[in-house]
Amino acid sequence: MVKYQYHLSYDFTVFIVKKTQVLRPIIPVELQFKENDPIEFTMLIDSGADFSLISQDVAASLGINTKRDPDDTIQGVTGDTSTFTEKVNIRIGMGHKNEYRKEIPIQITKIRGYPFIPALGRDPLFREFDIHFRMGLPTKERKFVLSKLE
Amino acid sequence: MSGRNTMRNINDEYEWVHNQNLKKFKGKWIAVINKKIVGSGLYADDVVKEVKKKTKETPFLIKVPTEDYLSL
Repeated sequence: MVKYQYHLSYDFTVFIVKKTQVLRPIIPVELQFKENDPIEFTMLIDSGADFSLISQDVAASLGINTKRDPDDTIQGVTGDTSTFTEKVNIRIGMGHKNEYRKEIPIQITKIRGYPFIPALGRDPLFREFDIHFRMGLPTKERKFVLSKLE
Repeated sequence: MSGRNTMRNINDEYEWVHNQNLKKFKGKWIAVINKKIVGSGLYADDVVKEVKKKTKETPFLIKVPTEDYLSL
């Protein structure tokens, strides 16, 4: 039986796109590169992404040197993008009794403004949390839940 | 890590943001501190530079989507 240490639950962020309601699993996080000033962002939980991905301007806001040469190319549904990787400290669940902190690898594009929203990929988040997307429940119960594995 | 360690509740701030009229910020980043929009712009680093001139508090940056944005 799977045991959990704690649960972090969030409301979906609701958008209207082309007159259709879209529910996005977006969470507030804090990112910090080395000892630079931390910044809080919203990130989209992207179960289709192997790793987390941020744009060049988001990386620069954290004090990351974005003039580095790319060392990888990621293949997404919208095409190929050159990236490099840095380790960034992330905090999830700020203000909650149980807060998650971890240094995670984040891929950084060489493009300002792409991806449009910082994306939180599967690794390492999905190794440490069961993530339940409860989109089908009635509105009041419709939350997505990050359950921390023991 | 430093940053937010009080109960300045980020979830409350996020909920507050979603109850605001953000039409003029579509496609831009907004920086929020204590339920006030303290900066905005197309690129996160420009917004952070702008905010750091005003305060030492940790800004909360949120991208306001355009109407036709679909995440893929």
